[in-house]
Amino acid sequence: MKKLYICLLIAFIGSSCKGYLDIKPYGRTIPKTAEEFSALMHKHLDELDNGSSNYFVGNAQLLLQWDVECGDDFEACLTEPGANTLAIYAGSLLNLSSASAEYAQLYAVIRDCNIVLGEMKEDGTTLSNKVRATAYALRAVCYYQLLRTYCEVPETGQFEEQLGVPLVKSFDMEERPIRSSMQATIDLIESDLKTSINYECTDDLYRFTQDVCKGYLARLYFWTKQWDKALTLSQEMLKSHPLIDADAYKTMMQSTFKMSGNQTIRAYRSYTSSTSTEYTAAVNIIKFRPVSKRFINQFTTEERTTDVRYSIDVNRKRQAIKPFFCGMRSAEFKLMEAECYYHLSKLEEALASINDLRSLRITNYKNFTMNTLPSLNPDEIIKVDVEGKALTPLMGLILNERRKEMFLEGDRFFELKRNGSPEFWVAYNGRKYTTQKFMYTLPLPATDIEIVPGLKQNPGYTELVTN
Amino acid sequence: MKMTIHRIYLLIILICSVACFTSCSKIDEVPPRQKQNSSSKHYKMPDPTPLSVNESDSVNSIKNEYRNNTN
Repeated sequence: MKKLYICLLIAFIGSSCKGYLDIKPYGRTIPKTAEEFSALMHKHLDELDNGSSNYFVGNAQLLLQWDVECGDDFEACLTEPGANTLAIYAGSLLNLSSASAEYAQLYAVIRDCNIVLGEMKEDGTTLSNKVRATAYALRAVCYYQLLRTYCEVPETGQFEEQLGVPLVKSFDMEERPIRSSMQATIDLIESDLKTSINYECTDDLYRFTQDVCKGYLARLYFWTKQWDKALTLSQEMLKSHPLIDADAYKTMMQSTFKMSGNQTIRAYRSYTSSTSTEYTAAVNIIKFRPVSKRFINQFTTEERTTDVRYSIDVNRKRQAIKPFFCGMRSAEFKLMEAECYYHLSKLEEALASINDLRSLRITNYKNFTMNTLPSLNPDEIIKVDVEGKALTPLMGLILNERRKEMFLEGDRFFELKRNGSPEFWVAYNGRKYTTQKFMYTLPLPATDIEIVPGLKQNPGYTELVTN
Repeated sequence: MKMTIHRIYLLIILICSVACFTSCSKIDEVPPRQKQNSSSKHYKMPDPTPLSVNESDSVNSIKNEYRNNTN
């Protein structure tokens, strides 16, 4: 009898504590139905719509960060006291521990996408297909933002050697992956976008529709210098969402809180009180740091009266007045088309693309020819193109046009990064702050470097200091 | 018989003692508490430098140009 008790006791002790400290919420907090998984995705789509904490498409605060603080379209030395909270240059931003917020938030969205892709049954219903399409698209977009922000500029032929980001493809709270190769990161983004496209989701309620995914795929090919692929997709996007004339363009850009014109996705589609507070704060603070003369000089004296963009972009005091736009619209694809043609040595076609765009922005526009191209702007800090070659007048024209068209849309800092990552300085209170080449690639959060063995930091970030 | 039982008891006590004094090499087995969390740290950026005379002139000309053309 005693032996029986002892055996029972041992069996009880040996088996009762299985998984006692297991913190995985198996079967309790993970959604079960397609509707619940849909709600998980819509939480993030709502953030996109109301512009709150949205790093995958952007919001007004993020545009302030990239364009006003890190770029060269604004003049830091002219900053008035009302904008003391604006960072002086990219380095000031990196001095803040909150700089890692973007990284953490993007991975939080990726985690939710992984829950959907790993746990939701693929039952073939329309709802589950839409939710899966959204999860693939959203995960791809997050990795695309991580690639642009936390990895160096892709160098053709070196994707296997260059560092990508840690790839988390399933929901596992204990997983601590190290950085993948850039090729693996690019492959995952491409594969996710193509999978999402194959679901043929056209329901605008899910925001990341088939067209939006094609647009992001074009962006990926463009960022990774796959010119022929980027060209094909850009032209497909232009066919389904054609460019619009100056009046329609003006109406589109001034529609602050609704989809308009040839926009395919955008933040701020729903207007809430928190949206209003965040957006208004950004609008108010931007007035205190004027637009730089370097940017103004991208427009000729004549163009300041004939180019519709100039009247939308700045007022007489050189304050930026263009409504913040975070999203995707067709002009970007026209500019990508021009640059792809250029790098594929189709110069006449590249010029034709730029003339097409300019003719829709400038009243009584007369096309440039190869013989009448404007000379390079000496104030432009970009001196080489994305392939490292010295700028030609045509390439200079393409980049200038992009700078004007995409003003205050979160593009300029990444254009600087892509085209040679030039060093430049700004002055503030008698001191000189230099944006160095390494600062174009943000550091991975120090916490992650500490807790993940073997996780490599980007070059230039060596010394940790306490706030 | 009694000797055998005593020996067994002694053996058990010995095993328990050894287990007691050797198994917990660290009494407090929770991870060492970090006095400074790395989330409060950031990477050091180069310090700003004073403007040279030429650079100051350049900044002044930007300010003057702005004042003269926007007021």
